[in-house]
Amino acid sequence: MKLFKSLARLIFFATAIYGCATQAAPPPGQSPQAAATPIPYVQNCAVLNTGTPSRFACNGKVYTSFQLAKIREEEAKKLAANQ
Amino acid sequence: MKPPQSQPRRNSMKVRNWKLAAIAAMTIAILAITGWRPSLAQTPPSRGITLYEDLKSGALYRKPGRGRVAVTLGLDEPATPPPAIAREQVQQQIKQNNDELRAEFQANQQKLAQENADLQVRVNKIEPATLDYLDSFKDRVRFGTLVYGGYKLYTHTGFGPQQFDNNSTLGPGNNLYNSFDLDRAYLNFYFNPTPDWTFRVTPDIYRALGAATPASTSHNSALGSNLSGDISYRIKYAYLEYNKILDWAGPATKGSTIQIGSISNPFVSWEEDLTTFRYVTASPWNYAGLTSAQLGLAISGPIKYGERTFIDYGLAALDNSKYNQFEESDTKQFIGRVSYYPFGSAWRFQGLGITGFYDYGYNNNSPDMGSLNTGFGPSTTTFGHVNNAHLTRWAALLHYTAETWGIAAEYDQGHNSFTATNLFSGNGPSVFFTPPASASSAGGTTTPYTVPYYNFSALSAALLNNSRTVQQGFDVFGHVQIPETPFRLLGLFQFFEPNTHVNSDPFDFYRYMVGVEWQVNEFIRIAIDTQNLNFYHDQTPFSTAYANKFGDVFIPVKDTATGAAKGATFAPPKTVSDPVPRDTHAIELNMEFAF
Repeated sequence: MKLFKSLARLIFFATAIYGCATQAAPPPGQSPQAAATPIPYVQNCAVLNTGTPSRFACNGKVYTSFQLAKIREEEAKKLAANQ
Repeated sequence: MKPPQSQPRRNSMKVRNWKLAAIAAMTIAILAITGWRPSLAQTPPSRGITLYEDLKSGALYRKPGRGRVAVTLGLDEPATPPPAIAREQVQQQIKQNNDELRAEFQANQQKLAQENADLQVRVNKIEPATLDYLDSFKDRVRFGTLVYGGYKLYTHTGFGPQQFDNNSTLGPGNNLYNSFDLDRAYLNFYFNPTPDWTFRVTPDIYRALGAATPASTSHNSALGSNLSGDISYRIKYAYLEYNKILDWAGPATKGSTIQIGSISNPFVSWEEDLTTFRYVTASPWNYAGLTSAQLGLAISGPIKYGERTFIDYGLAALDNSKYNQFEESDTKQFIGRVSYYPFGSAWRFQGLGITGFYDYGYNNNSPDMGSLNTGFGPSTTTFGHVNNAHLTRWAALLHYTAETWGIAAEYDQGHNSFTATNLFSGNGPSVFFTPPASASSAGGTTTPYTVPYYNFSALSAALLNNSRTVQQGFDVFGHVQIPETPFRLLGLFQFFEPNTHVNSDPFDFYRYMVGVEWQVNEFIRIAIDTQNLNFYHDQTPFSTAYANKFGDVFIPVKDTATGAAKGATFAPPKTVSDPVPRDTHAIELNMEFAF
C-alpha cells in the first residue's frame, strides 16, 4: 500500500512538472521554428556517454560535445549576422 | 727597228721606275701592317690607301692637286654596305645582344626565385622544437575532466546504501542535514602513441574518512592524525587498450578492444550510459554494491552487419576486490554482458535492445579466512562461511532508446551479492561496524542487547551475511525531453529484496528518483530532483529465533560481572523491535561538467 501511495505521488509529481515545463520558452537564440531544422542542438540529442569527450547522437549521426559546440557557435554567428 | 730614244727620256724612265719600285715597297709595307691588324686587333678589314699621282712627274702625293689623279693602293676593298644598312645591322646586332642578355638575366632571375622558394621551404621546415612537440602532443594526447557535484538536503535521514562513492550521509535523527558535495572529479588523460594503442589514466577524488588516532613516532612522542575527511586523489582508471584486436576478422568486428589494468566494469559503465544520468544517481546493480571499476582484463566490441550493430558485448576477468582495495582472494571474478539489437542499432543504444548480464565471483577475502570462524557479536561461527562463498549477479534488460527519450526495464537476481556492508555503505549503525566489547564470546559485565541499534545490527548480519542469500530486483528507468526545450524529465525506480529467503524481510526496499534536467550546453548539465529510499514493510517485531535460522547471533552472552552467579548469562531478546530502518528522503541539485 505504501508502495502504491509513493508511486501515485511520483506520477503526480512527474505530471505536474511535465505540465509546467511544456510551457517553457525555447532557449535564447533559438526560435521554435529553428528547433524543427536539422541543426543538431545538444538538447535534441541522445546522450551516448559522458567523458572526454562526451558523445551525442543527433539526426542519426554521432557528434562529440566539441563538434556540437562548434556547430552551435557558428549558427549563433549566422543569426547575429542576419540580424 | 725601234725608234731611237733620247738620253733624257731614258733617264726619266729610270727615275720613274725607281719611284714606282719605292712606292710599291712602301705599299707592301703598309699592306703588311694593315693586313696584320684584323687578325691581331680584330678590327674591321682595311680599306687600302688613296694617293694622288702627278701625271707629269709620276710622283705620288697625299693630297689632290692639279694634274694629279687618285690612285688607290692596297687590297681589294670588300663591298661596303651603304651606311643605312650598316647601321641597321649594327642595331640588329645590338638588339640581338640585348635580347640575349635579357634572356640570360631572366633565366638567372627565375633560377634565383626558385632557389629562394626552395630555401623558404627548408626554412619553414625548421620550426621551433616546442611547436613540433605541441603538434605531436595535440595528435597523441588528450585530457579532460568529469566532475559531479551539487547540493543535497536530506529532509529525512536514515541508514542505507551510498548514492556515490564519496557520498556518505548521516543516520537517523539528523533530519534536514544538508551539504554541498563534490561527488566525482576525474582527471582524464588519454595517450595515443599510435592510432591503435591507448593508455588512459584517470585519478579521482575520495573522502579520506577513518579513525583519527595519534600516530606514535617514538617512545615518548606522537603525531596527531590528519585523517579529517580530506578530499584526496586516487587512481580510478589506468589501463592499456588495443583497438584492433579483431580487425583481422573483417568489418563486422572492427572496433573491438582489449583492455588491461584498472578498467571499467563491462556492465555498470554501460548501464550508466544507458540511464544517461549517472551524475544524479547510481544504476541499480551499482547501488546494490557492484563496483564500477576493477583491475583485470576485458574485451569488448560490436558485431555489425553493414552499418548497423546487432550485438554489443563486454567480457572481463577481474579481481574480486574493488579498484581501491587490496586483492586478497586467490580466485577471480568473471563478468559478461551481451546486448542484442534485433533491428540493428545505428548508434549506441539506438532502438530496441535486449541485454543480459552475468557475474560470477567471490568476496575479497584471503583463502584462510574461512577457518577463523568469526561471527557477529557473541557468535563464534561465520554464517556459512560467507567470506569465502561464491557470489553471482545477473540481470536481464529490455530497453528502447531514441534521440529524445529512452526507457528500460530490468530484472535482477543475485546470490550472496548484497551483504549488510552493502546495505550500510552510505551509513549504518556504529555498533554494526564496532560491536560493543560485551558482545563477544568472552562475554561482559553488561548485556549488549540493550545497546542502541545492536539488535538491529545483529539482525542485519544474520539475514544478509550468511552464504545462502538470494537477491531479487525490479527496475524501471528512463528520460524524455520536454519538446523544444533543453529540459528532460528523469526517473528511476528500483525495488530490491536483499534476501528472498526471509519472510517479510525488514530490509526489502525500493527507491525512486524523479527530477528535471537542464542541458545548459554541451558540457554542463544541472538537475533538480528528489531521491528517496523507502523500506517496504511496516514496522513489525522480528523473531530472533527466526533470525537465528540464518545466522546464530542472538545467543546468551556470558555475564562476567563481579558477584554474578557462575554460568550466568545475558539472555537475548525474543524479538527485535523496530527492525525496519527509517526511510531517507532528499532534495538534490546535481551538476555535471564533462570536458
